Amino acid sequence: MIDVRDVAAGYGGKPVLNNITFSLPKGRIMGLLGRNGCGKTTLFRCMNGLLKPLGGSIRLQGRDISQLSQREIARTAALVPQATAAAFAITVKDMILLGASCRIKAWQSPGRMLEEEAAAHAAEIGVLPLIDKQFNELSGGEQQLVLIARALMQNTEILFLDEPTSHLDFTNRYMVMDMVGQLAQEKEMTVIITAHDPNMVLEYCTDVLMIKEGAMLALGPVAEIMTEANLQALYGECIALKETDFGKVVVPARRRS
Amino acid sequence: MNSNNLLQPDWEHKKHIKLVFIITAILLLIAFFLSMNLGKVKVNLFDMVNILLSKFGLTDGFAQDLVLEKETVFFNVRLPRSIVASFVGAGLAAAGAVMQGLYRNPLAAPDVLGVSQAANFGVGVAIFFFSAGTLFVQLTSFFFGIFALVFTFLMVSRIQGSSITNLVLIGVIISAIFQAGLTLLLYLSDPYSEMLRINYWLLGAFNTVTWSDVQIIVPVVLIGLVFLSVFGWRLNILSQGDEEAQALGINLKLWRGLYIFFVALVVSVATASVGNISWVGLIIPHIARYLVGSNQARVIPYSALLGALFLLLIDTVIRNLPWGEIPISIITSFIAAPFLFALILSKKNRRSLFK
Repeated sequence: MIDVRDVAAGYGGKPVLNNITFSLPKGRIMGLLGRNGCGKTTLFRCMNGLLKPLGGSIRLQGRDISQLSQREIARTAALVPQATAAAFAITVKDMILLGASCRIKAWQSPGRMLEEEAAAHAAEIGVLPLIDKQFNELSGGEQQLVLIARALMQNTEILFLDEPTSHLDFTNRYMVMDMVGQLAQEKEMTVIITAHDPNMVLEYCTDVLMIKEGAMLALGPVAEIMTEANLQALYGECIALKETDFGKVVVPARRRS
Repeated sequence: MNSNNLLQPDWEHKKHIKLVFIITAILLLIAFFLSMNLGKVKVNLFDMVNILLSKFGLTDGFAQDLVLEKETVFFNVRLPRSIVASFVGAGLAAAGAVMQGLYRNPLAAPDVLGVSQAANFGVGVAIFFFSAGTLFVQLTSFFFGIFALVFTFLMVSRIQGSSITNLVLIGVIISAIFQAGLTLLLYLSDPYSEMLRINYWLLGAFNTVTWSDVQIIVPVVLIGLVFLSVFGWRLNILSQGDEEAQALGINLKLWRGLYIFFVALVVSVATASVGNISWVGLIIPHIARYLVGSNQARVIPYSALLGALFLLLIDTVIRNLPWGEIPISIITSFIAAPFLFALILSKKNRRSLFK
């Protein structure tokens, strides 16, 4: 489904990311872990066609994205960005409808069919009661859900989520991630999530890719890769992995117990 | 849950928007009739129909009975003037709406690109160096407007990651250069002839408008308006930010380029023909958004309608002032500045203005 081979990427010819190679089969959820500035976002931008890799190839559903137009990429993989306030007032429904742009002609605006589809996606995500509200008046978690509904309008099998929970409160985090997990399962979507919270990866992802200083540190199924040794290699000694009644949990290591 | 029921309020909403469009269009027609009728020479509807019919050679009989004065005033002065005022208003307002959407900034206006300032400089060059006639002034002004645009694009393409901030900065640079150039020309010019003419032109004037202006402005503004309105919905996507727009499948450089090209075309033609008319492009889109919501597919055509109405009304008023006509920019500024002040003070907009 997603095939990344020897990708190097960076800005102004200087690579910040080297030799990234992985492939993710259909229906898997991969977490992308790494510290700030490690190149996670750069890799994400490459996979969305926002940045041309300096080397290597990226294939989505078997198609090399360097051969695809931005519109074709948008019909293959949908990006859920971090929710930020919109510059102009926009209703939830209009926001969701923006996802349909890659499916209609340039001069068209979405018709009634797509409006009903938007309402259906809103219902699926649980934001239907909010559909006539202003996007900017929603909570962060609700905004994030609306952006997921918008991504669903792109009708893709691949979903990229860029730190979907990092600015959300505790309740909203789990609300959003539960929805992502549920979607991936029901629709057999292939998902890649960049995350700051390793616990999110432990709980929701099937696979994990750790990136340190622009290079791959570890790659594989969550159960094998999310070890204390790997986490400490990534984040330093300040982190520990504890077995609890709820499974493995990442905790700060210097806390007195 | 039945999604049809949930969409119902929106269909009501659409009816309301339709009504707003229709009312504004009717007001525009009334304003147009008033602008034909009011003035020292009163021309009523009957006269207008007669004159128009005779102009198209449909009724010889009536035309002979007409007072020649009425014909001149109506057909050679008021009609072209009001057509130009409407189209310039429509063009500037729609251009402003597009710029605000494109720059994701409610305070953006066509001036941001530096096109107006360059066009103004062109006016100065034509009058100072060539003591040029109207048509030549317009051409020079238009040339400089387009030059500023091409220059912007060349600069942007040389800069890595052509962000909106870079575009704004380049606009500021271009404005500053042409503003300084114009000031220099004004400083060097003869204060009793050239300076007066340049200044008067820049203040914005519809009193020199003739049918030849109509022939330039109407087709250009119409083409611009049609493009910007037809592709209005896409602008909503560009308003979400560069990367988001691209991720949603937009070829950013192509579309931003197209929008800016048509905006610059409309603005430079308008500035070249009737001088600098400030503020229309800034405030009209705000009123439009208040009345029809923020969807650009509606904001752009409605701004055009409202801009036409606004400028036509103001032009009719200043034409009929008891102490004689004054430049139109004075009035637009007097109306718009307090309006902007109110806008900044209003809670609803504060968040988006000072984000």
